[in-house]
Amino acid sequence: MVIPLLKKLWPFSFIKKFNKNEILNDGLQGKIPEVQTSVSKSLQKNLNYVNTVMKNCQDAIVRPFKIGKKPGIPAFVVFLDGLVDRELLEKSVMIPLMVKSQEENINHFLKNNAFDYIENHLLASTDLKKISEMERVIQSVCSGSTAIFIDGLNKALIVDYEGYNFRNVEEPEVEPVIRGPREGFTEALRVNNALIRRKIKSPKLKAEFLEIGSITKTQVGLFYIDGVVNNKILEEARKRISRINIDGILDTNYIDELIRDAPLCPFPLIHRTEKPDVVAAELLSGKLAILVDGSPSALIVPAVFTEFFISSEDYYLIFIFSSFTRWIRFLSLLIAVFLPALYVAVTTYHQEMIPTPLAISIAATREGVPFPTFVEAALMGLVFEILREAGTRMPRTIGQAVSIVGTLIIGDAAVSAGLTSPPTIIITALTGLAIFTIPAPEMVITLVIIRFLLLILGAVMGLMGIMLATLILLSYLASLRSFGVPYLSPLGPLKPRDLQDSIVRVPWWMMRWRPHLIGSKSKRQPFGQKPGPHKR
Amino acid sequence: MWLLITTSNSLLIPLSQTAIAAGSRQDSWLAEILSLAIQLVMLQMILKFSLLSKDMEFSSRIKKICGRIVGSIVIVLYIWFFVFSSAAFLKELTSFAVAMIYVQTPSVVIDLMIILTSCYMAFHGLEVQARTNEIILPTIISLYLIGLFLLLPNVKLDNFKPVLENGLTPVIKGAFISSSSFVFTVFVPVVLSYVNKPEECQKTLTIGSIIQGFLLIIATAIITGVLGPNLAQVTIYRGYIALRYISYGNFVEHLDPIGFSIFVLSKVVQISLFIYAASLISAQFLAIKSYKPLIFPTGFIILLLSNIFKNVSQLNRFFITLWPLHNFFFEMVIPLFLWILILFGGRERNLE
Amino acid sequence: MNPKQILICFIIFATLFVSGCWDRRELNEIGLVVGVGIDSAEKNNILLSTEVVLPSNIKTTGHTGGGGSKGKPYTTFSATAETTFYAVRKILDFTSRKLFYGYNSIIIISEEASKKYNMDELLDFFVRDPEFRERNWVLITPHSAFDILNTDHPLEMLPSKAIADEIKANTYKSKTISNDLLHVYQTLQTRGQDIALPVVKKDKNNRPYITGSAAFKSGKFAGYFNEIESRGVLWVLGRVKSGVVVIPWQDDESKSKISVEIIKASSTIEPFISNGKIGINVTVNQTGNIASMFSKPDLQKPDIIKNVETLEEKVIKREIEASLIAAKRFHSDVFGFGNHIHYKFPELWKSIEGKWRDEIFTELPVNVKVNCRINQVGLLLR
Repeated sequence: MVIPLLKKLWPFSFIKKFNKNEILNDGLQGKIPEVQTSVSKSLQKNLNYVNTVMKNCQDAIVRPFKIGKKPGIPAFVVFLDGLVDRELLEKSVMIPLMVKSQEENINHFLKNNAFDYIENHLLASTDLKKISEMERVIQSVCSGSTAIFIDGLNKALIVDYEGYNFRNVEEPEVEPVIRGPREGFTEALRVNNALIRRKIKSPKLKAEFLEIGSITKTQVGLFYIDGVVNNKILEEARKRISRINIDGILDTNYIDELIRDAPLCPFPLIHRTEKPDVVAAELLSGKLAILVDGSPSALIVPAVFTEFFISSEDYYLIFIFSSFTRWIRFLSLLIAVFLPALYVAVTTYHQEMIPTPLAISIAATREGVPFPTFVEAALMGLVFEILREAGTRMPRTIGQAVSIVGTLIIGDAAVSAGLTSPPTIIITALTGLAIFTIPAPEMVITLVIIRFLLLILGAVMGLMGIMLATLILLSYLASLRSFGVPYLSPLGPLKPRDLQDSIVRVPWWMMRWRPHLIGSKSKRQPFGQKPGPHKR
Repeated sequence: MWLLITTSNSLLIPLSQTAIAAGSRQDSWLAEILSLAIQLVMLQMILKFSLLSKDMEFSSRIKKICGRIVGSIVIVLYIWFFVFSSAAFLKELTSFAVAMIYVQTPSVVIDLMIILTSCYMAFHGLEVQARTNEIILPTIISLYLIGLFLLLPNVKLDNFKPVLENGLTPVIKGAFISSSSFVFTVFVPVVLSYVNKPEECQKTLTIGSIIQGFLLIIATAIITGVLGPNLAQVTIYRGYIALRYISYGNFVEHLDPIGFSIFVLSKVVQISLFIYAASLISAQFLAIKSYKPLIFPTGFIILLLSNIFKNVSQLNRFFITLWPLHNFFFEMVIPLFLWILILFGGRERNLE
Repeated sequence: MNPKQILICFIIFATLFVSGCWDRRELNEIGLVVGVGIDSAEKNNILLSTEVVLPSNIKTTGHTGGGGSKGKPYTTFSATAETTFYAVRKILDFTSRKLFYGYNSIIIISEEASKKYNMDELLDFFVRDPEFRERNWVLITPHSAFDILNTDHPLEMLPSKAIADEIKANTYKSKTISNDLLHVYQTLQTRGQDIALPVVKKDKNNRPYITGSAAFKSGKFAGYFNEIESRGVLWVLGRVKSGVVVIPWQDDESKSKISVEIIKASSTIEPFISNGKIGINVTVNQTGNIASMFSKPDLQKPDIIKNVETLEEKVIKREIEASLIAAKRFHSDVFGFGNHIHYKFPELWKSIEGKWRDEIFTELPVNVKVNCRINQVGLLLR
């Protein structure tokens, strides 16, 4: 009786109305419409079609011309301004068709078998497709190709002279390294593809391209190494990607949210990176990479929790130091998540745990502070987050100044105005600092939220609250899976062999195995690679 | 395999109830050694019994062995065991928290928080709990060992004298009581059909219980050595008191959180496993497809049931008098009964 | 989100916000108690005094503003009531803040109170209450405990901290028998040992100092040991950590003294039965270094060292015997001889347990054997 009542009272029940099986008859939905217009033999018909479809697309350029001596064969090219390298187009398409075709001997051939000759001898293009459906022609024109219509040919010739500008290959700002490759992905999928190819020069590296987005028609690439990848995971990834039905994909995050295992999970279940070397390394360990045209970040599936605390630099520096920095990062993780909560819990519930002199000095500094410790800590945490956000949104030169000045002034002024006590400032600063040691920005955002939740629990229930929240958190993390791989592996389920590259980083000659559950062939290198003097 | 080594160890017997309480005084550590032996025997027996029909669900197995009516009674008894044990654990944890830290907080609130957490953990099922335990367990054991290690300088050997003052009787009594805390042996047959490699359980469980037994022996010895037999017997939370006593160079002191976290972590894990077991058996018994809808009702019943313990001293008395008998009934008598039924009842063929 | 999940969410949030903070107390909203004193008052009442820190008067480094001396960094409150706990609660009548006893480091009991009450009764509250730590030192004072809490120490800001630190230092001076709450209570539970507690006094300048110890008989005050007797007890217990033994080298000359620094000492207590009577063998092993000499014997000769050792043994033996006499006078088995008899002859112990202190212990034959060894002589050979 109670439950139906609650059901009625629940304010968000309308959400259910958006059902999974809903059908949108928009015309823009779906991939290629059922009814297709084929390319007509009549040039005028085609021209009309193009003009209707491209109406108001003022960047669409339609150039009619004639091939051969008078009367010549009427033809026209269609392309989108800005997407095409015009010089190249002129040199290799327009000049042969318009100018060279005037020559006597060519004209001779043209008369016999015009289309075949144009295709095989005149168009000096490495990439030529013949498409007979109007819709597909328009689609490829929109993605930067050039279409050539010739009178009497019921196909359009498509040549690729994409010539738009893209960013140079630069070092990604979110993943800076001291040692190791500096190159980062750009927004162009073709370039990114090449960057990965250059690292893995093997035909076993497979790249499958799909077009996703009913309007944007974005190219999505699925990369894996055949024989290394776990076929079950590959199938699963293919299935999930092909299920996507959306109007547009502008960034890899669209894909991420559409294919992740737990849709509402705050933790990143898919690893994102902007570095081709990271992608190559992950592909070698048996994972898959998903790249999206227009986004410099690649998705790597499946991802495990510990992966987000590993920087690519760990592999480029000596293993002892790498292991040490990993521990530092794990320690920072604990500090970043638990420290404010512990501070509040200990100072308001478990004072006996603080050494006496420290307790007295904290009490002395708190004398006259109007807020409870919890409010203080929450407030300073919020201020810190505001400063951080401001620092990232502002132009970089100003941003740094703002964060430093803001921290100094707000911190110092708040203390001398008696709004907070110095220990809280120290705790907040330490927490804020610690969280930046974690290389993955996605994880950082999540941890900040969890930190605040824990802070509330610590303030309400003390250590008991923190402990119970930790248990809930752990069991939630343990229940997560990323493409079938337990999120907490190799810690839980414990795979001692995989600890070689999660808790510590062993030297490369010891890293003989690919991660369990992820790759299909787990052996990576033969035994006995330990360097040493040659034995006779 | 990875599943059960954790479950076996995660049920570390907390610092408060050991053989010390049973009156074996300075010989408690001897009692613990004896109790480890008893535990191992019990474990072998239970494993033998449960491995006989490892592919069958628990309740249908019981029904097949004992027949419909007796089987139902046994199943209900098992459900009672898990519910009642959780209630006792819950009360123990809550009264500890209320006594030590949350003096003014109503215990119902703490009860509720713990039950909700355990229900949440139980909700995810056995596999997730096992994975969680694989992380919690090393934490508990390392905290445990750190605490004990720091207590070593405070141990006085005089506190173990005289050995066997009152003869063997108190030692055996203590061993009996201590081994009865080894409750997870009841848990094993229930979940065995859900474990991916049941055959390996025998080995891992034995190793797990030996580890647990040793930890318990060391803890008992050290607590007795620090507090002395008299004080150890009269204090309720001896382990906690002992941990509080740690002082290392005026710097490493105030280690209450270690004791507190061991206590909370181990108890909550235990309760959540038992809630899972109780709702799993109930679901099988009532022929419900999933155990999940039953978890919260189970938790609620446990919450209500935990209030039958009126005060701490009653609870303490319960743990050394009634509780061992209650547990022994489920750890020894029922498996033995089923075992005999299988052997002599001629029902073995039906199982195949 | 089905309704059940909604219900669960509701319960979780409800508990979160309902459970709000029953035991929450801010550090600046509680009074930090560092010392407790117990005096006896009229009509079987207890006068309980607490020393509370005033954090704002404590000079913390870098805390600008104010400056200069602000007055005493502590204050004392006291209340009279029938029981310890009631007195603890009654003190709250005079304070604006709730008092917190987690940092308490000493419990001072006046001689008068310890005569009137059994220690078991007085200390019960402190062991039972979870706030008090087992590391609290228990002390006896012949003055009133309230006065001791109000003394001034030149080095420390808080007298309680000064006294606690002094006791910690005293374990190396070996002049008093220090016991923390855990050991006091532990000893009170055993029948075969009595407690001895350090004695704190104040001098003319209102400074606290620690001297000697107090012996108890079954938890009641019995008498004082002076510093020598205290060390005698410690020798037997094997608890001498460090200290100085002064040996008269030549009897005729009062100034010719050798001082030996104690490096290591241990003892064994071994009960025996001869002719149906119980007795105790005490063996003390001590290692020391010669620290200073007023007369100059040639230490290169082995005889001389041997001589020093024998003389030292005599001195130590005299100290132990002095303490034995005192303890027997007080009927107070501070050595734990009873426990050792219990360990070795459990059956015999059961028969003599009842009359141990008043009959057996006072007549107990104790054979003291001291073995001394001189290891180092410093940088000078003569």
